[in-house]
Amino acid sequence: MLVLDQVETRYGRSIALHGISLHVDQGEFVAVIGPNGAGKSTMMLSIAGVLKPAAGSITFDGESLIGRAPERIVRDGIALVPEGRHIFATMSVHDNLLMGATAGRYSKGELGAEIERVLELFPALRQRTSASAGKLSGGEQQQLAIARALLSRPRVLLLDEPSLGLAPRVVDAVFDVLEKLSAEGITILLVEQNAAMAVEAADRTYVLRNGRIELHGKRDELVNMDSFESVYMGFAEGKAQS
Amino acid sequence: MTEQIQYLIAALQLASQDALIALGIAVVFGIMGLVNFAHGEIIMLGAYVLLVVLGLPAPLAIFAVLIACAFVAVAMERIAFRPVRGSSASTMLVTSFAVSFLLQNGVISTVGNLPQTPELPGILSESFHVGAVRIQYLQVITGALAIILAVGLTLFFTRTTMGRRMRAAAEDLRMARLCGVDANRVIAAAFVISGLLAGVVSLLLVAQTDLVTPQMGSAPVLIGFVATVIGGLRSLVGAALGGFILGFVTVALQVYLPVDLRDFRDAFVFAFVIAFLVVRPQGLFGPAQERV
Repeated sequence: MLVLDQVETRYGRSIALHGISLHVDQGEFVAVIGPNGAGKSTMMLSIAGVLKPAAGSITFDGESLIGRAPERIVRDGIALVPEGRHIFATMSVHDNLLMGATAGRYSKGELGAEIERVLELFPALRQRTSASAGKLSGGEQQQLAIARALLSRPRVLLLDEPSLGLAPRVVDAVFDVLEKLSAEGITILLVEQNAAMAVEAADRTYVLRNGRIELHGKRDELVNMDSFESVYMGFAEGKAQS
Repeated sequence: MTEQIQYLIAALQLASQDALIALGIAVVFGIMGLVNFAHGEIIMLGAYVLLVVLGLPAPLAIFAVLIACAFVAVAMERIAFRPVRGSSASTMLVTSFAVSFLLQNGVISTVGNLPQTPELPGILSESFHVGAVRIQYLQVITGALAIILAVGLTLFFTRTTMGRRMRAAAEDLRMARLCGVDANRVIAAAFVISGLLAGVVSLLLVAQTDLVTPQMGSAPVLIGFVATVIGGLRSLVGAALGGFILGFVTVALQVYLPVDLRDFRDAFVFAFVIAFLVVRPQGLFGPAQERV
C-alpha cells in the first residue's frame, strides 16, 4: 500500500536518509524504531510531503507521492501525527478537531457524528471540548493530536514518537488506542524510540540507524533474534549515555 | 472640558485609523511571518484609483477602490512574495522594501510626483455640534468603520471555516497544511483581507487630508508596523490595540507637549515605543517564551 524505495533525503548537504526501503501493507501495523537522530522523523516528513527526497520513490497505492503538497497527501488518505504533537494551542479542543476534519470530505451533518465516534476513543477529551487546547496535559494533547488526525479519515496513520515526554501510564493508554485502531483496520506506521513497546504492538518492525534500515522482521522473529538484541541494546545504551 | 472631549474625539479618529493599518499588516505577518512594508503602497495605489473613479456614484467608487486594493495585494503575493515564501524573515523584509520602492517609483515615473487634490463630496469635511463639541462626519465614519471591521473580522476568524483555517495557519502553517489546509489559499485570503483594510485606510486618508501623493503610504505603514510590534506581532487583537494606543499617544503628545517641541512629536512617539519595548519586549500579547 505504502512503499518507500531507496529514499534519500537531505538537509542541505547532510544526508539524513541513505536510501531506505520499506513497505506497509493494507491493514498492517508497522513500527520503525531507532535512536535519536536515526532519521525517523525525516522519513515521516518525507512521506507526508513536508520534505522532498532527493532520490528514490515513495508510492501510495502505486502512485508517486514525491512532489505532492502535504495538504494533498492528507486528502489522499495519509495523516501524520507529528513529533511534538503540534496541536493548535490557542484554539479550543473542538476547533482542533474541526481542523483535523479539513481533509475528511464530510457531507453536512456527518461530521458531528464522526467527532462523537472519535471522542469515544478518548474519553478524557470529551469532557473538555470547549477548553483551550494549550491548557491540556501532555497526554491529553497527544490524544487530541491523534483524534485530529483520525478526523481526516485516513487510510494510513503515521505516528511520530507518540510516547515522547509522557508518563508510562499515559503511554500505555496511547498504545491501547493504537491497537484498537489497528484492530479496526486502519493501517499504521509508527516511529518510536520506545522500542520495547513498539515491537510488542506492531506486526512488523524495522530498525533504523544513521539513516539506514539495519534490520527488519516480524514480531516473533525479532524478539528471538540475537542481532536484534544487540542492535536494540546498542542504541538503548547510547540513549542512556546521552 | 469641551476642549478635552474635542481632543478625545480627534484621538479616537487617529487611533481607529492606526488600528486599521496595524490590522492590515498583522493579518499577513501572522500567517507568513512577512512584515509587508509595501502595505503602504497598496494604500497609495488605492488613492490613485480613487482619482480615476471619482466621477462614479460614491458606493461604486468606494467598491472600485476596495477591489483594486485587494487585487494589488493578491498580485503582490503571487508575483513577489510567493517565490520567497519560507525564506528567512530578512529575505522577505528586503523583498517587501523592493516592492515598496518599485511601486512608489513606478507611480512617480508614470503619474508624476506632484500631489493631487481630488474633489471629494463636501459632507466629509462638514461637521455637527453636540453641545459645544464639534464633530466631523468623517470622524464618526472612521470610528464606526473601525468598530464594524473589528467586529466583522472577529466573527470571520472565530465563526467561519476559512477564518478558523487562517488562525490555525497563523499558529502553525506546517501543521495546518498537514491537516489539509491549502497554503496558497489561506495566504491569498490573508492578502485579500489585508488589501481590503488598506483600501479602507486609503479612502479615510484621502478624505482626511484631501491629498494624493506617491509617498502617502510610507508614514502610515511605519505607524502600523510599530503598532503591531507593540501588540506583539502574532496577535490581531494586540495589533488593533497597539494601533489604538499609538493613536492616542500621538494626539496626547500633540496636545500636551510644549509648543516648541511639537515639531518633534513623532520623536517622542517613538521614544514612548522604545520605552514600552524595554519594559515589555514581547509586546502586549506576544508569548513570554517559546511554546514547547
